[in-house]
Amino acid sequence: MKPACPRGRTSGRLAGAGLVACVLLASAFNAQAQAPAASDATTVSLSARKVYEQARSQLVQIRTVLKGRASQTSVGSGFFVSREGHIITNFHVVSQAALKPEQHDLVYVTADGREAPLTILQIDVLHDLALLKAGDTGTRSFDALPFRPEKRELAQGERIYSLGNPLDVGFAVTEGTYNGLVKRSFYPQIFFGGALSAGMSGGPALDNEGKVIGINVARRIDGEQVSFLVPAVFATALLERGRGAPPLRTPAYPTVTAQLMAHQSELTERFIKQGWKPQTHPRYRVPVPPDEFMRCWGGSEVSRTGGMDMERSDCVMDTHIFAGDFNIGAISVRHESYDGSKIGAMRFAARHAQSFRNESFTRLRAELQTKPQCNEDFIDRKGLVLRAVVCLRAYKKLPQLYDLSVLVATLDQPSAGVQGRFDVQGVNFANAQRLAQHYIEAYEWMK
Amino acid sequence: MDEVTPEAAPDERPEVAVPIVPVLEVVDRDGQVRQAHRITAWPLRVGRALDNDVALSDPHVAPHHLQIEMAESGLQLRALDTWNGVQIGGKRLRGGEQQALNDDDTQPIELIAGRTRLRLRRPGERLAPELPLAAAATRTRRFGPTLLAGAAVIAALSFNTWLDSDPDTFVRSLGAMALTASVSAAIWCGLWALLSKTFTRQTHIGWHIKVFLIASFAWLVADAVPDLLSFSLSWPGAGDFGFIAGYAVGAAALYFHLLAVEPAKPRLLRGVALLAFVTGVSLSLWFNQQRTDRVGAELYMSHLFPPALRLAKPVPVDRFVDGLAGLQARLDRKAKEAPVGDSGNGGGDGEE
Repeated sequence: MKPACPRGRTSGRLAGAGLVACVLLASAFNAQAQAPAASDATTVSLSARKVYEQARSQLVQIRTVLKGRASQTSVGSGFFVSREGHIITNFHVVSQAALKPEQHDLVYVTADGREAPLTILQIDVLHDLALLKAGDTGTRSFDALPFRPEKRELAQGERIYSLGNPLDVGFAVTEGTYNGLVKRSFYPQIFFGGALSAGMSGGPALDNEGKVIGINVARRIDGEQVSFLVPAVFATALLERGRGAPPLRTPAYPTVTAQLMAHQSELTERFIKQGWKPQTHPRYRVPVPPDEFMRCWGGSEVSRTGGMDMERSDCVMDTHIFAGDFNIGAISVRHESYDGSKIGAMRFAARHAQSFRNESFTRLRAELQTKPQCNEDFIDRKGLVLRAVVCLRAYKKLPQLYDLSVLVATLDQPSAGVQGRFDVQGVNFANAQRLAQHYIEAYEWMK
Repeated sequence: MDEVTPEAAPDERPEVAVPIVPVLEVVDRDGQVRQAHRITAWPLRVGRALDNDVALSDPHVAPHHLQIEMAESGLQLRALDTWNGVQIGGKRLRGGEQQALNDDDTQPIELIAGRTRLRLRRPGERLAPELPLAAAATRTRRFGPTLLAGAAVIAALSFNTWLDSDPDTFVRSLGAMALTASVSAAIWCGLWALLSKTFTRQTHIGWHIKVFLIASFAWLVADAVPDLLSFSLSWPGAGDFGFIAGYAVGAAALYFHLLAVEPAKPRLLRGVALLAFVTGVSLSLWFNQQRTDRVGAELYMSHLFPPALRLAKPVPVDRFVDGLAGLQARLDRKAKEAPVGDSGNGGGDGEE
């Protein structure tokens, strides 16, 4: 069993450790770890009880099941948003059914155990939302959860309640606080100071009055009660857009590709427009992006064996777009600067080469992405000589989208230098070229 | 075996004309004689049965296997009642067939009956000059090249160790390198010497050490030169296919090592070395293709040397970025292909 889960994230400092998508698979260990939470249940305020009672009939669990077999491949949550049976959930809850409809079916299960089929009407990959419709609309009408109007802003610290079916254990309400929007997020997300677990993805987050303010989507696995909601405004927009749409019966790759095309165009414009930080190295201008939607971590290392000293900076985006088998749509920029004055030119060149060699340009499996294709040369940047390698990979199911990687090493000093790497996922070819040029041209000598 | 008449004093010994007779030798595969039979009368019959003139105990030999007889035209070989026949030169005589032997009596005739090698030496034989003892005992006499190659290898390995270690750890690294290098050299040369000893009864250790040292030095050079070229001239191809030079050095070393194991067949050994070279290179190219979708060994030129060694001219950014356009068609074509080969997730951020 794999409950569809809020996507875990790690902090910049732990970026090297990679993302872990589903940590809270039901297991004995987790069951124990959750035990103390049971005592919290007694402290749930009266309003939590009221909110849950109000929302109970609009809340559903969404199951993806293998066609022709009874087994479920993932579970998440969702809620009714119209009397005609429209349901909002996360795209990642229904991604298997959306991308491989020939293998998967969707069903919903209500709190009182009623089960019925579902169809997908519309998806919003960039905000991780999907609009579904109940398959038993002919026989009944539905209660819908109301959205909180956008104009009525919440204040930081206000109580909010997140609903869903964590880990397929049963429907639950968890209480937390509204903490405004997440800083440095590429798309707006609400910072929810409460606990989300796998399986609650797609469930609603409600205010005191039981109005929807957001949709459960992710949490940080390296923090406590640091969770994220998609603002309700994107769900209302999706509902308006897809209310009358015909059900999706073929793999949704064309829609995913079109939405990622829009994303890459906005990403490229915003990234190039923000420019670079000044003063990043005493000798060169080295590309480091401002902190608008990226987060940078740095560090320095002095050799303890009389070798080469090093400083590094590592900038990543928190926002990743989930596209089924992989994440896409992020940029990362990093560099390392080396000082080899203690070891001399020859030994420095050997270290420089070793570090330059120690780079991978393969990201996804061969059925998802081509192997990298690269161009390389010595580059003249106003007298500063660089070695640059540009590698591109094409996505197999997302036509005309590419990953770009640029690797640069400075070659003007015999015993010191800088190496930088720039990675962009999911851009069209013209933007890949623009971004490569933008990055390489950032290198020059300080005036 | 000649009979000596003890009663006659040496100076008075009467001259007895003992005719020079042919000899049939049973030899090992390296030519050493196991048995020799003086032939006093034709025909000479060879087989496993004891009533033959020469009796062999090889189970692959028939009771009456072959007969050599004097016909009017000269010696004749006849294969008798045998399944396996008799091999002479490149030819096989089957049971009942015969062949004349008298074309050239200055060379010994070599026959194979079953698994037994036979050599017929005749009185008219022309002898090769005597081999000096030292050259035969070991394939090398001059130590100069060996010492020179050894010094070069030690210098090159020490330089590489110096290059790759920090100042504070250099001496320790050097010690570790020396230990590893000498142990592996001893194992390598020891195994070849063992092989030589098995087949030629001599270890040829000097020869194997010399081959090993020269090949090691050549390999170190063949490893470094393409990298330098690929940096200096911005020829990624030199680094991409530089491994072929390494394989060539390896194949040459294999040939010279084998020469001290099977000295009689240099042409066969050249073939073996060439085959090893071609197989190694093709397998590597194929493996590269499977792993990275390209035949070269390196995705990009990653050999950085001190900036002063760069000869290629740098290009402006615009031109470089325009040059990327050529990649698009290739990527789009590959995106439509079904995935082949290794589907490894090379790194970056792994999903699930």
